[in-house]
Amino acid sequence: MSADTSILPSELITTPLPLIGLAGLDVDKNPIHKSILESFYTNRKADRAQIHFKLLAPNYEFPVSKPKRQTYEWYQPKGILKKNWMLKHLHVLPAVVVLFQDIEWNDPQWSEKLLQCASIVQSLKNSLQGRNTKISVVLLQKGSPLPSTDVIVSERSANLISKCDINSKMLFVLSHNEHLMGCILRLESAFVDFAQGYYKQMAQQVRLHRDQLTTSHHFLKIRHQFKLGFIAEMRFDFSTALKHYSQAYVNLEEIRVVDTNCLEIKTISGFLNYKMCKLMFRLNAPRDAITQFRNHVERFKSRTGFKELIFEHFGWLSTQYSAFADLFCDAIKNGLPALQTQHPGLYFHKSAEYLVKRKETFQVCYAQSSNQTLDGSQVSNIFWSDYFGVRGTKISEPIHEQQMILIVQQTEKNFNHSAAIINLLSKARAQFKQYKCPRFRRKLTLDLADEYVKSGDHQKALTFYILMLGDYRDEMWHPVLTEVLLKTLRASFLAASVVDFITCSVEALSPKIAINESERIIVLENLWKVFQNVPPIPSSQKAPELKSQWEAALLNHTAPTVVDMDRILELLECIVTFESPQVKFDETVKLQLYLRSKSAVPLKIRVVALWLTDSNSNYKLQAHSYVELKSNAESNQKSIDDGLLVETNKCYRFQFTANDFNFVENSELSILRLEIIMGSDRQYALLTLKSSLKATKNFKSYNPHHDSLENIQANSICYIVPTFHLTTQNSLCDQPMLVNEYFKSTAVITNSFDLALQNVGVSITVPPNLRNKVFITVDLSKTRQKLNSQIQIDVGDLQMHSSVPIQYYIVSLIGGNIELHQKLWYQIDNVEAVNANQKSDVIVESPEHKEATKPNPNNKTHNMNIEYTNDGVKKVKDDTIIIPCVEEFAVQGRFFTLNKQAMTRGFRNEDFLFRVDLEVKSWCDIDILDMFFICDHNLIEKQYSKQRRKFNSPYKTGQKVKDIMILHSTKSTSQWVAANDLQKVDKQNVLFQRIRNIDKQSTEYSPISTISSEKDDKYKSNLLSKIPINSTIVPSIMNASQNAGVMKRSFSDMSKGKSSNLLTSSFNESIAAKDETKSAMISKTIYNKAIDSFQLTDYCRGFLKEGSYSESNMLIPVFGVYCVRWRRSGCTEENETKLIVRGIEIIDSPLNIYCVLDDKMYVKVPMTLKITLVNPTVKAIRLRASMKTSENFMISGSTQLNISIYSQSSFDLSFNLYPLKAGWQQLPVFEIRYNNTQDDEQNTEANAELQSLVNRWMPKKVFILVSTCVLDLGYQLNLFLCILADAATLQVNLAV
Amino acid sequence: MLLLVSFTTTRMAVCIAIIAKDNSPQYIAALDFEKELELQYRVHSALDVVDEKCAPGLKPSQDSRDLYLGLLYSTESHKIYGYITNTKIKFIIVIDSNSLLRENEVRSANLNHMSPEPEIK
Repeated sequence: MSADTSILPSELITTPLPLIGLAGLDVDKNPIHKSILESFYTNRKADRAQIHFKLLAPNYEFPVSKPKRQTYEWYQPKGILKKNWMLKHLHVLPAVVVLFQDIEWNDPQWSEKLLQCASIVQSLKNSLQGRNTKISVVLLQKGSPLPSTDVIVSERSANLISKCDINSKMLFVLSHNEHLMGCILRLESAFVDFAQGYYKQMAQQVRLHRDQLTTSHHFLKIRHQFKLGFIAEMRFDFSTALKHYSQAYVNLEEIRVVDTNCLEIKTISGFLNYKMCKLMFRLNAPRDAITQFRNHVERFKSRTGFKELIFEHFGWLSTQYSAFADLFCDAIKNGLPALQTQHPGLYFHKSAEYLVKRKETFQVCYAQSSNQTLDGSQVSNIFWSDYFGVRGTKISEPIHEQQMILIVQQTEKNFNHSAAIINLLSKARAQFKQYKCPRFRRKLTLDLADEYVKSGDHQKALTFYILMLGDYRDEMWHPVLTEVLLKTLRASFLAASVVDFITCSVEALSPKIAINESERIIVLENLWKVFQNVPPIPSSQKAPELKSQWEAALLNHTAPTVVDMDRILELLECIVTFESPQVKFDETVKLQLYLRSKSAVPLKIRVVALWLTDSNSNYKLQAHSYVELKSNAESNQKSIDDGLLVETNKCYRFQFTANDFNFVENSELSILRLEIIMGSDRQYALLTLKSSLKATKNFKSYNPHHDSLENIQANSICYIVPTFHLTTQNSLCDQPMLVNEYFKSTAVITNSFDLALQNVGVSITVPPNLRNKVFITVDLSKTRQKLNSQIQIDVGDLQMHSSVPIQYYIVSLIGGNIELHQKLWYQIDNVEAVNANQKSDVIVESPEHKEATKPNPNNKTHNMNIEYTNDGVKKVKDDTIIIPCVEEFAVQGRFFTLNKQAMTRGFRNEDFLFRVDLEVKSWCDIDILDMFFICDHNLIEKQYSKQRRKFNSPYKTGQKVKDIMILHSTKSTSQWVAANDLQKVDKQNVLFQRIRNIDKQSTEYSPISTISSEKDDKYKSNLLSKIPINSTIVPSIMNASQNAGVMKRSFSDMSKGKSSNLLTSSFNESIAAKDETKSAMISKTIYNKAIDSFQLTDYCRGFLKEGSYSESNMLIPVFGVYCVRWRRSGCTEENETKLIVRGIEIIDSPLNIYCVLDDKMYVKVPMTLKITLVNPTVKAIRLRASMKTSENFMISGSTQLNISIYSQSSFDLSFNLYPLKAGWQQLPVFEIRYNNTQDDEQNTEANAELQSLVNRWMPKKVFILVSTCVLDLGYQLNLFLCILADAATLQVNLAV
Repeated sequence: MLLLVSFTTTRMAVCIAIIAKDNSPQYIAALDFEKELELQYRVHSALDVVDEKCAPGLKPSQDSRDLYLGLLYSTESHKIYGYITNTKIKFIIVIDSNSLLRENEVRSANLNHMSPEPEIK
């Protein structure tokens, strides 16, 4: 019997199950019996009936039924609940006794066995007299069962039933075959039914007793309700059970609680509460359970009972909480969801808290009564009692009571409080962890550690404390941290843990730990004691065991003790900075450390060391001297060798010089960690700072110290600038280059070192975004240049202090700043001479390095790559050359009719004008050498002026040049290509397409351009893809001298797409992608002179057309290429600007009119006006022509004519005119109309069209010379016709 | 801040705490100096509930604008209420469980006195 009355008995905690007794099984000898028993016992899962089986031995003794009282009137029980009642019904008294007998129906000894069976049944009945226990007989038979209709079966079974005097339903036959398990299950369910009947009967009996009770029978009422509840549980009727338990609880409340009965009332109420809560959880009413539990605790919290035994009360409370928590846990296991604020952990915690109180109050009580002695003989029987919660007999004599209290206290002494508390706290911790309460869990862990300390397990406590330290430190709860740290320090002291003691002591020096200065001094003193290998035990204290423990620990501990200062708050403030963010390879790396202690006590440090790292290796530097910084001054330099006393809030500076190391060039040094040693030679702490060195403060803190520490800008990394032995000087002239110009660039590569360099080379690359817009060449011979996007010039070896110039040309099709990549490299064979300790396999270009360089803009200038090969070192340096490029010309072109009207489309067989306006945009003077138009073969170019054009030289910025030519097409543009491909072209004036202006076309276009940009782009792309206009391109393998046939082929090759990506990068991605890699590498030869190139292609000008129309989506014809040859004034290099001329649509006209005048016309000299009408259509036309009279001219001959012109033929009209006046004279008006008299109305439109043709082609004015003048005009006057309409524009060639 | 102190001194609350975004304490005032450490532990533990209540994505139904967190947890001796600002500054108030202060009074105390412009010195 346990002395601890608060513990809930196991019979209460288990779920009551019906008890079935199994008799007649000889398990030891009969294997069949054994297997039957096992099939009952084993594999009891949830799906099987909830039964408790008990094997009854042959001589099993059932408890004797007590005689029932007739009346309860004078009966006063001594307690509420008997201790044995539950046990009896759970384990001793079965509801059903099952007798197993081996009897076959056809057994030859049937009658004997029958008698034997009947006698056993009879003896069972005798021993169960007064009980309602059912007796069942199971016949064990081998083989397959006989049908029940069998005569022998029915006869013999009836015989058996009558002999044994049992109900026929109580007889079973169990065939021992392969279906045993199924039979067993069926038997089970039958047994459950019997058990149910048994318990029902029992409940009725109890109820019968209850009815006899009077109001004074408090105890019995409670007992009966409890019994009814328990029986209902046996019957699995949980709601009824809950009802009875609740009633019992209500009845219990009616009893007045005094000190003497307090224990019993609380015990029983605890039982009832436990049962109620359990059932409530089971019935899925967790809220009710919680409420019930709270009320229960609230009700009995103040019922402390005997003052001397108050610890018992807390024990009871603790048990209540832990039992409830267990129930809660079980409910959660069965699927109840719990909350962060309502979970079992809370109850476990509370339970632990009460247990702590139990312990504390016990200690107080025990101290008070320790002088009293105890008579040992009474201990054994005082706890013995029939009833729960009742100690001994209930005689409340004061002496007896005193004895009892002493005995209880004595027993309590043996209880291991700490173990119980630790157990509960561990359970609570697990729950709090599960329900996401990390901080609460931390607190519990601290409590746990506290308990370990109390129980004397300092080592375990220390482990927990140290775990928690970090968490509280991270959250910066300093007051809490202080407490935890001091506890840890104490635990480490008691556990004699040198490392933890040193670590905690150092941390305790931090100002964030809120202890007063005297305490801090003690901490420091103790720390130094440890450093001196002396146990930190005050001399006044006598603790020999601890002292020896410490001595052993100190002996075993080997220095250093590493203290991670990153984790310790604000003890030391350190700033480490490189003196400069980068040093050259041959310079010394210098660093400075600024140190300030924030501790209130002075710290003595011995060694200050700094670890640097590049990504491959680490380097250790040690400081040898220091300087103390005062407000504005520095103290003298002092040596660090004999230690340094770092005083509070003073700032010290340490200088580090890395003389002894050869760092890898092109690498980045960063600070790995700072190490400060504190202590003696034998015992010392190694304080390391790592991440806190890199911590950046978001806000500048207020600086109460007058030193410069706050203002220091720390360079956390230092780049080792590699030595590059070559320098380049690009002698690009100050002036920008011009578009389309072959711009000469000279670079001088100089080796100014005392070292010969091998394999010096330089490459210039056009970046991808400028490919096909910018080209580089080295060869600028007359006939051809190889144009590349990359050139590489191998210089070879370069002797010391020598230089070599390189020269190349750049040509750009676009303006703006042109960035070229320059790569310079060389090799040094004798690595050792350069870099003594260098390993050959060091890879400098590590990913970290790249990453690290990003944030530091200083390193951008050192785009250097160093490769260590077997025989030397190769250094490569990347640079960017920026060349500004400006436009040379702005060019605009337009088409006009002969009457100088803007033309949106031309007619077949019509002469029209093409005017080019060229404005010099260049900043420098330009000599224009030639301007010419290479027209498409569909077009015929006629010279506008017979005189060879002369150019002024030089042209200055803003000067304009005009060029006019006459073009003529004998085919309409629809005939240029297959007709079905041609679509109507929008109104489009003359368009000039400059290849270089792909991106900014709008400035170049005629303002009335209305073509959508999309079409435009597509067109241009295609055009460009097919016509290498600006540079005629043939593969480089070809020489200029090769014959034209080869050339031709190469052109056609290119027109099929090879050249496409050479000139256009943005369009036609499929082709571009296919050839991109190749094309970048292939160098191209570009003929500078467009004319030559055309001639070389055997005058195959057709490629223009082929190029522009081979694609089906071509919309606008190309009339040709306009070329301007030019050079800078004073230069010899010729350049050529080539522009694609995009034309206008040429259509068939209904009538062509040609007008011919005499070369010279004089006043009063007859002249002839010859008008030729051509009918280009397939129909005959009938016209009526008329010449109106004019004041200025006399006309002879008929002025009105009816003409009919056959298809494809012409008709000449000839008028004789006689000019009357000199100067500009209006010609007589010429009119033609369709001669369709029948249908005049309908022809109005057609007539208007005819008239517009007349207006378009007929001259309006002529210049009449004075007859007396002798004129010697060297011009062809038919030119005159073309320029009549607008006199103002005519001054170009008329030098009259 | 003054309001908070007055709130404490009028014996409505046993402890007031202002907690920074990183859960470090900025200000803690306890009525009873003896119990200050114990209360600090309680306030600190209450942050578990604050964290859970403000965990992103867990409670979409809860009005995120409602900065008053309500009762964080209660024990036999204390009730702890919380309020969080948009900038994740937490105001924690510990009230004696036996106090007559009602829930809605706590709420109004939080909203009216704390939310507009807490004067943190």
